[in-house]
Amino acid sequence: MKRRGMWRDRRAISPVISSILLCATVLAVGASVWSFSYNAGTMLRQNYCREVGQRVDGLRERFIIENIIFNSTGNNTMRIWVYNCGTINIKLTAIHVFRSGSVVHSETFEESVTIPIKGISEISFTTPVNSGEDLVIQAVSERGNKAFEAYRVP
Amino acid sequence: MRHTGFHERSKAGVSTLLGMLICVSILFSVVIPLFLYINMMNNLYNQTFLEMTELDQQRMMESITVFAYPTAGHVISVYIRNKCVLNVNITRIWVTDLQNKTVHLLDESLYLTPGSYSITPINASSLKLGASVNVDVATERGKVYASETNTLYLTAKGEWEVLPYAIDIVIEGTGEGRKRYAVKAEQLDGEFGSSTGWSSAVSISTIGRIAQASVGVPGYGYYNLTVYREGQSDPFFWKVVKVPLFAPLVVPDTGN
Repeated sequence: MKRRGMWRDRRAISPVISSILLCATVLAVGASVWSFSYNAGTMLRQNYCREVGQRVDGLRERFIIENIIFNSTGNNTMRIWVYNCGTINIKLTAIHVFRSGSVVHSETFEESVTIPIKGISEISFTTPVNSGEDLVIQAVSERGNKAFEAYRVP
Repeated sequence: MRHTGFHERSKAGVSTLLGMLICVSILFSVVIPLFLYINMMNNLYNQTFLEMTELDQQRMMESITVFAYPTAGHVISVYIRNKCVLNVNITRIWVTDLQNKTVHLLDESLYLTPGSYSITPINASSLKLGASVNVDVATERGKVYASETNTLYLTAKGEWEVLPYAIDIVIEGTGEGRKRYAVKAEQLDGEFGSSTGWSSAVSISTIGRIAQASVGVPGYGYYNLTVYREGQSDPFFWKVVKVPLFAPLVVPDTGN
């Protein structure tokens, strides 16, 4: 005896319905693929934009230590002036003082010191250095660029 | 019998056509915009790189000469000549008091065309008698030029002059290679006296095995001369010398 159930009888599904089902499947899968591609593309674009933007900002950054003065007769205060000669605002995050290649003092700023384009900023701090020592002062920006200046303590 | 009518054939192609349309829409809405966007960002990066390279090149080409010289009263005149083919914008003139460790900053905005010069008078009446000052000039491109006449000295009469006397010193090294030294002269109030508070230091490098320096001092008298090797805080040579010196002081450096 032959079973004539709905799932056994292929002739029960008309060609029209099968076409509709096929089209619906194609549309659903296609929409999913398109949605995934669009989101992935947007994410890729945003990441690339952010990374290149950061590199471009880093390229545009230029700054120098324009002057240094150390007052040993006072309270060992070192004053340095940092000039922004680049084409973007900079934020200083730290000043390091090196002696013979090793750091003798680090001055980090809780709130970054912002220097506008063509602007100059004075930073002063106390550091334990002695007369006659050769120092290298390093200013570090938030974007990771560095400026160096050699200084002999008078 | 096979059905080969219009409706029979087209049914098989609809889903393929839809699939193709979706592929094309993905190409136009995702791939091509992404490609264009990446191209645009690369162009921006290259353009910025070229602009900053040009800025660095201009910075290297920039060259000015600075002479600071005393004029009547408490005035220092700063002569600045633009020696390069670019326009130079002077932003600041630094007057650093070496004794009192203070800085007098003049915010200037001088625009020098190629070959032109300017003379800027600086009123330095706030400085104390006996002060020694260095004059430096900063430009907009981020370069600092020291005056050729550094260090200037304010005499007891209240007049500026280039330090009138000098201690000439020659350091003879033993090995090859570049070495750097610092020479410091400190004025004493007698041969065995204490410091008057005046001091001056210069940094020099060897040329061949010889390093030569001339340390300007304000007048006759005794000076404690100390010589340091680079990176060392203890001097390897010290001596009390009497100015005027009629021959250069020769210091052998036998150390490493």
